[in-house]
Amino acid sequence: MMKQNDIKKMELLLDRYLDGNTTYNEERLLHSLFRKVGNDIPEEWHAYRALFAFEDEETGETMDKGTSDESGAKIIQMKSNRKRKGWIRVAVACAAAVLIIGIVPFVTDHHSATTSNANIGNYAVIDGHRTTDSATVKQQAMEALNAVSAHHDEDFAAMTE
Amino acid sequence: MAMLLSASTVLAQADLQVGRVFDLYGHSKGCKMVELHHSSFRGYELDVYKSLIYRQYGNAIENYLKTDRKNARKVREIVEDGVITSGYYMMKQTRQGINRYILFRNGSGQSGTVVYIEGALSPDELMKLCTVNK
Repeated sequence: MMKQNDIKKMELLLDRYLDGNTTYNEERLLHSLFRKVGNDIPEEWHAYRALFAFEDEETGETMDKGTSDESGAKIIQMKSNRKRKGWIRVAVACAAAVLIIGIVPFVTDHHSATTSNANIGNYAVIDGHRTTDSATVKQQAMEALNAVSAHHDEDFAAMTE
Repeated sequence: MAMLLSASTVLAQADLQVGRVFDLYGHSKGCKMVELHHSSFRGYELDVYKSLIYRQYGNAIENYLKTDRKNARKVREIVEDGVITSGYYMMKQTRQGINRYILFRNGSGQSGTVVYIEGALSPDELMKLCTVNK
């Protein structure tokens, strides 16, 4: 399971990375953490994991061709950074395309959701395992709703505005 | 269409920290996350229902919810020994006529439940939805 410390560390490093403020060592650490946690990451980070995996692959190829002295290492790092910037642009362009293709039709579709498509997108994730079984999903939803619900005879200091 | 519905949820919570809670912990072990669209609960129609039951991460999740709480209208809060143990909060609308609510209740240790609701129901109706006979 992904450790809480790793999540925090990765979150901080990702923020710095996207701001372009990470050092070379911090980027290596970020790559290493993404390799370490595998699939156990939030969905929103999957694109970064793919990006870093690709970069690792690319850097590996470059290093095979490079020299092992100090100046060689600097050249490899510069190539890696240049590739990163290029791929970030590609990733941003892809994200924009997905938003345009995916969300614009939704805006007109949303209010006309019919009974036939009402169940699409309904799911539960239990201990990391996703299910779309409607009975399970509804049962889990009711469990959570009951958990936050108040009882008529509950003794509490309620405030209503 | 499923992708589009997921995108809608992302958008619906884009300005809320509770969205990050679902993203960060929804797929973790010891957690149960549910997402439903256009469903009926106890006779009330909800556009979006999302919930997370967690056995750990309570402190981290509490920090995210604190931020949302600052920008919310308080519908109900339960305070025990000076600590908020449960709360219903109404967030700013992003679509006219559609209210957004965050509900949470802390359990023992680091456990708890958080629910995000989007729908036309009023705060009074939310209270009715979330009040049950023991």
